[in-house]
Amino acid sequence: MQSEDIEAPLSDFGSRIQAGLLAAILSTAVDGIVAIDPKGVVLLYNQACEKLFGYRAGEVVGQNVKMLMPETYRDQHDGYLANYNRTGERRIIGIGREVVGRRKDGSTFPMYLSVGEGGLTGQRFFVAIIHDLSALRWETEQREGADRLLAQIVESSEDAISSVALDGTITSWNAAAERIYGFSASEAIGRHISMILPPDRLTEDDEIMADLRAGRNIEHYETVRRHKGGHDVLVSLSVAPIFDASGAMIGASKTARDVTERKRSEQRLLGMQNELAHVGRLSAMGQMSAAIAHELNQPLTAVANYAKAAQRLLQNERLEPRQLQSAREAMEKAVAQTLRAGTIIRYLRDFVEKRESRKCPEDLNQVTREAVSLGMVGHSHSNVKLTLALDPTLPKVPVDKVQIQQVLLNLVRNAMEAMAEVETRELTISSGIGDGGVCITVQDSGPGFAPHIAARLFQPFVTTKPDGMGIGLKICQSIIESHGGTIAARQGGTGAAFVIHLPLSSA
Amino acid sequence: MTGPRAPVYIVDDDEAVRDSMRLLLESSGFDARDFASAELFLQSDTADMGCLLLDLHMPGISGLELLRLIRGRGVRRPVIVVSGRRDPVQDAEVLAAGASALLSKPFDDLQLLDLVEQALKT
Repeated sequence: MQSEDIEAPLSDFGSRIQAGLLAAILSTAVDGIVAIDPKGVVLLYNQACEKLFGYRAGEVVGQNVKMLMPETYRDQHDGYLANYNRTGERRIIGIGREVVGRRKDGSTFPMYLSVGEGGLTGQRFFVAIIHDLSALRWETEQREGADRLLAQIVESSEDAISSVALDGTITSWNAAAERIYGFSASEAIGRHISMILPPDRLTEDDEIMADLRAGRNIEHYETVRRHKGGHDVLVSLSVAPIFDASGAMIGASKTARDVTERKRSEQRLLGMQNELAHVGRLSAMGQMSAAIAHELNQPLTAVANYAKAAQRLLQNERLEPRQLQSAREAMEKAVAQTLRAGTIIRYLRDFVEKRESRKCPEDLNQVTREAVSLGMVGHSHSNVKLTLALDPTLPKVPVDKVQIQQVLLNLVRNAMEAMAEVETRELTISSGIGDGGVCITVQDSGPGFAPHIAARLFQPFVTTKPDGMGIGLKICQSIIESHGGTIAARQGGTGAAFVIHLPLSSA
Repeated sequence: MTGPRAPVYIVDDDEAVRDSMRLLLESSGFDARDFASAELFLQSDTADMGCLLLDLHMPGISGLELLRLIRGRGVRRPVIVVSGRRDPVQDAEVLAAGASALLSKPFDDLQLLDLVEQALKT
């Protein structure tokens, strides 16, 4: 819009200053401004319109304003104008509404159109302000698209996703939540989240909310929820706060993964590991049976001897006080020997008993001492120099004592066998702290192992023993790994060394 | 129990077995001396030994080695080998080395006392 174009209509206002001001407003306005006469002929078309529609002012002024509309509206526009001119009924004038504009290139765009009516020297005209809605519409569409996408993701998630208000009222509930908890969205939304809490965990949600308020998010927290059908569901729960635009927390979103099946698999695996470990212990005891029998024979022989000696002393008709005292002592010693035998049997029973895996904080030095004493059964005459280099500052570690002893027993007996044919027999068992856990090393002075065996030591059915099955070390590895630890073999300075590493916290 | 008899020597690394055998022999009127190892036995004056009750499985010098050693030195007194673990090969080795009798642990007291009685008469 050029200033000459508006000079004529404005000249009637008599003020050059006002005319200049209006010209400036028209040329700098961001919104398009169009004036038409009652027949729809364009009288005025500002610079913003040139940008909006792509037509120059010279192409539009004097033409019917319909050219700025999509074809479908063009015919109606004449009708609207005629109707208004005839009846004065306002459809748009003084009201404004969203309509569609058409650019010179034929493309269309959304716009907000407000129309005012004026008159000048008896000539009526209409002034339209055109606000381009393209950017706003694009933003809205983007946002709605993102919302739709998010909703689809939430709905198609395998995980139960729900949200709650600060007071625990459920505000959203996806399809997976329906499946995992058994409540439909319509049943759940509006009710309190406690409907899926088992009776012994009713305060859990309050605690979670308190954590969130304190700035602590909850991630992969394993807990139990109650299904509509009354049974418990094991879930891994992540909870995050929901904030409003001002940053105030207004609720929480909860993502729960059903881990019941995973837990069952873990339990089954654990069961199989236990079974394998038990078979390993039975096998170890089977191989040690002769040595164990000998170990029991010693106290039993002593008991029989002491009892018979006491009996002989007491049979003496003229019993001297010294003999009576001797008989008493013999009986006491016999009793002590039965206890010695009992201890061996109790330990064996603990060892071969079929049992659930139990991890308790244990002093690994004590566990090691007991395992080594069992491992040395039958080897008291083997001339082995046994050294226990145990670090007294060792922290307690959560382990299944019997299983760790089983591993150590296995390693000790392997070492004893390895040293059977060598001159210098030294067995050193050491403990220490390192790598965020506790290490136990069993080092022998045997011939070590051939390189081709070293690489496959922990594979099942690999053995150097003529009567061995080759599953001992495999079982050891399975036990140590079920404790979250590692077991490794290395060729030591003079023989083989096996290093067990157990983490300070349970696996 | 007839008069003073030569002492019975016992070599066994298990203290309870050793001590109870000595007490059993003493309660039956025998004189007995016990040693915790072959080495301690060899360091002692054993000239008056009537017979020897010998354990086979011991750290250091084993029972079989001790038996061979004393036979090699010309000791002719009877040696009764007392073992918790018997097997035919070992029995043959023990007898070949000059043991006069073999006894399994645990044993009947009368059996032991009979063997000792016979050994001392030899």
